[in-house]
Amino acid sequence: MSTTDDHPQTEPRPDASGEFDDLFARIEADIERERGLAARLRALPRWLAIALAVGLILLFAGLWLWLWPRSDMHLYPDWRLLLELAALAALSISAVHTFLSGPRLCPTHEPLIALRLLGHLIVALAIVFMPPAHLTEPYLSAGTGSMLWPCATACLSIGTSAALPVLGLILLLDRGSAMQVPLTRMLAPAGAWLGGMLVLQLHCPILAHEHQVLGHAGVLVPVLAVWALIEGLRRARNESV
Amino acid sequence: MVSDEELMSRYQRGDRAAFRQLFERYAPRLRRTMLRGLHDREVADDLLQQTFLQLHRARADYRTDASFRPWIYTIALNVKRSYFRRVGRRSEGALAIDPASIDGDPDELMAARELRQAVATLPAAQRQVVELFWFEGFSFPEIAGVVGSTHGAVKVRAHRAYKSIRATLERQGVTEPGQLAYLGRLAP
Repeated sequence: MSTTDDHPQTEPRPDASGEFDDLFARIEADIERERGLAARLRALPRWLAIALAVGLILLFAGLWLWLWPRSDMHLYPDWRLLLELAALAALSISAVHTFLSGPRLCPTHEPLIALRLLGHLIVALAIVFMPPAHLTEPYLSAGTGSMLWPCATACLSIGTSAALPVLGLILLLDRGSAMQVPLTRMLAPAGAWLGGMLVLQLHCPILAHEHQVLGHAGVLVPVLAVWALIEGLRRARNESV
Repeated sequence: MVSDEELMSRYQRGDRAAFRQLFERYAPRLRRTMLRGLHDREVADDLLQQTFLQLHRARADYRTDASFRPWIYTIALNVKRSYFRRVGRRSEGALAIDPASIDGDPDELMAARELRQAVATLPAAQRQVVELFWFEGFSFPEIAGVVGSTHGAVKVRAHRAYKSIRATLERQGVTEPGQLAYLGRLAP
């Protein structure tokens, strides 16, 4: 049996017949159409694309921390807040990083990405369902009973307004499904969702689980809906081309 | 002859003639890659068009110290796989060995058919290595670059694929040395 690592290389076949001229003309026409902001964003080096998306997540988090920080910050144990913020930020950034990274061809990555998506969900739910960090009123009972929906809706709006621009930017920077294994596409809404939850964790002092589920984790619903709509439109456009 | 890497580097600096040269070098072989398991020239050319458009979009990411061939094949095979996914077919199941490359030896033709069936039963990760090694002529280090894995891990996958294919062929009674000639090339 052969034990060599090196495979005989195939020599390139010169295109003497000109049979590829039409195809090359089509490609040149495609490249000519690659103009405008969207095309420039897609063509950015991946390190820069990742830096922009991560920068936007951190910008939103920083703005909310600076302008409207949670009012129970002095009661919340530092270590726990840091841990929760670090977990949300790290998962959000890593989702964006993987989503926007260059092309990889490896079906073995698919189970890994499925595991990562599950991990994102588990960490987010763990933060939501952990016992309250402190037992001080009014934070403990706020946003419950008749105030459940108004408070949850307010947080949902804040989280969504932070998550959707991130999702929009990520999708503008994206070069399309041809460059990724299928499940990787799910990392776009996951990253945006966790970015939205990060903002809420910095801003909202309400500790009730029902509020956290509806108002914080619930950001996933509008983010997923918008993502599914955009993906559907993108797919329909690709199929029509 | 100017290397692929130098041409790509020139294209990164805006030299359109370098892009044309890369196209002329790679279009014929990538069309063959696209046609494998597809058998539709129009679709193959569409996929080729997408591949070069993606190359253009990703040009800023190409590192001139890295080999060009694994890079463009990674893009091309992703484009192809994406197409199969879109139309609801499994590309891997449609692997084909070009009968023209077998010199008409009936034993080898038969082995090629049975080999194709055996390859189709492999797990995706092993099948990918087999496809790149046998059908695209990549070395194991190059395959590692394409799939984003290590040389050692790729060799392990190839070895497992080899054992699995051999067992499948033996179960089917394909044991003649001539018939197993292809398989021998896969043994790391």
